[in-house]
Amino acid sequence: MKYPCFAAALPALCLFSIASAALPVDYQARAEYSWTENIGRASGKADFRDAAAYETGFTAGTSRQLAPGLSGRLQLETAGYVCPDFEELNRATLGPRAVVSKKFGLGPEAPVLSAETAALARFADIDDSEGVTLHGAATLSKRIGPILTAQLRGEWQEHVADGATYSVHHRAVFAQLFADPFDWLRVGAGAGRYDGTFVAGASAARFGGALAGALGPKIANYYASIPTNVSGALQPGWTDYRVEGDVDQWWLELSPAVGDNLSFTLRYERAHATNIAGVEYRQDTFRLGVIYAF
Amino acid sequence: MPSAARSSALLAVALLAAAVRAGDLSALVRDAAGQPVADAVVSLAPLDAPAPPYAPDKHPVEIVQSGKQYRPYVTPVRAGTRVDFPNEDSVQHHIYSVSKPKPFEKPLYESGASESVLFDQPGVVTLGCNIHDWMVAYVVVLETPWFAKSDEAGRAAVTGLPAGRYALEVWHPRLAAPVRQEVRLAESGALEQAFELRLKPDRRVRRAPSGESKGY
Ligand SMILES: [Cu+2]
Repeated sequence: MKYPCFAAALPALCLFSIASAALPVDYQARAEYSWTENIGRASGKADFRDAAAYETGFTAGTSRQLAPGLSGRLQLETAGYVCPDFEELNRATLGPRAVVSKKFGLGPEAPVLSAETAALARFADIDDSEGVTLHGAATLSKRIGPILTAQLRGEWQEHVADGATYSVHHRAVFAQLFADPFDWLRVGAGAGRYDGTFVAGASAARFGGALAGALGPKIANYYASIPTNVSGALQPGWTDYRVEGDVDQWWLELSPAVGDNLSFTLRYERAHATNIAGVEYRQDTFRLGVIYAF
Repeated sequence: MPSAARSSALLAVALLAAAVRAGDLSALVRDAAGQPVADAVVSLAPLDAPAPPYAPDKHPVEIVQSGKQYRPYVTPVRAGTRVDFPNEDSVQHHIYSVSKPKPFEKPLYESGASESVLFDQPGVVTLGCNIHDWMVAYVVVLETPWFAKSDEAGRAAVTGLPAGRYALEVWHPRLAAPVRQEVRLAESGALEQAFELRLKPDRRVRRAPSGESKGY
């Protein structure tokens, strides 16, 4: 476990580096409990494992107006993920993010187009998955009346990892809708599609079987051609492998707020992945989080 | 003293006395559930005589940007009043209004700086900050010097009113339309008025943080 103490020092590092630049800084801290079904992204029922995880995040940022209607934001962010049952999944990230937002007009209902880019270093128990995640996204937001907000988002991401299995990239588009039926409650729903390469996993027996043709020659040939890594993450011999494919994801979220700075999030997410060899699996995640803005 | 001169002198004294003699209006503003309503503006426009000319206040009227909010939320002023907007936050703020009586926009300004706006036309001016969408404030510009804003207990007191008839108006950000009625103030009279307002829900832009997608 080389990174937890480093991760613990990150918030202090963020605080210090931005505060020392004498800029008006805002901070956000979050903590989350999650329960993930099929945490190993396995396609065979026998390989399904469910697990709880704890995640914390901290962000320090500063915003400036660049031109009328155009604002810029720079932030440093860090996050840590701990899965007590499968410690090989533990990881942490740290890095800067820049956001430029253009608001077209005055008032809450004016549409906002923002573009962001981030470079996050990843530290993980699985050595081969360490590396840098490069991320870019564009989001168009529009408030519709006093209650609804609609968002369209497109993103691109590339993770340059130490091992080929974990060097993945994707493009994605999402549509999200939020409603604020009361000033203390936000309800949100969204759906999106990822297209690119992803890491999936299987027990040694199942992966070996697939390679031997148990799932047909097409899958055997495909799995023989892709990078793999025996990570032992979920059990001895557990194999991670990189596939090309797409993922449909949708989610529902309830977010009650207590005052101006504190909110809770209760979120259900479902992802359904299909790789180009036709193998499918799904993953469900329940999240219970708390966010505090300083 | 000739009698004509004496009677006109008496009349002048009587008029002066009438002008000096003043009444008070004390209002209690509640919502439909009987709870006190703060930030209601109670104003009285004279119907029998023109309102006295505007005399600028010695103390500047301020709406402060503090804690990423405008404080106070509601500010009643006489038409012709200049309002200062000092930024007491460490972050930049902006002010704009698209309201008919005073559309304007002040570009983003720094901590410690201040902007000033003259409100010369009567009406309600809604203020916003285009960076912090939840920031909102109201300037209620009135053509009468007689007005007050209700406190947390729902109480508003207007004092020093010459006797006569007035168009009384109660305004609140959550009222669909102001409550209007005619009242008559007797010389040195004290009038108590209770108002029950049917308020719309308080729909403000959420300020609390929101979660984000975790990706895949
Ligand atoms: Cu602001």
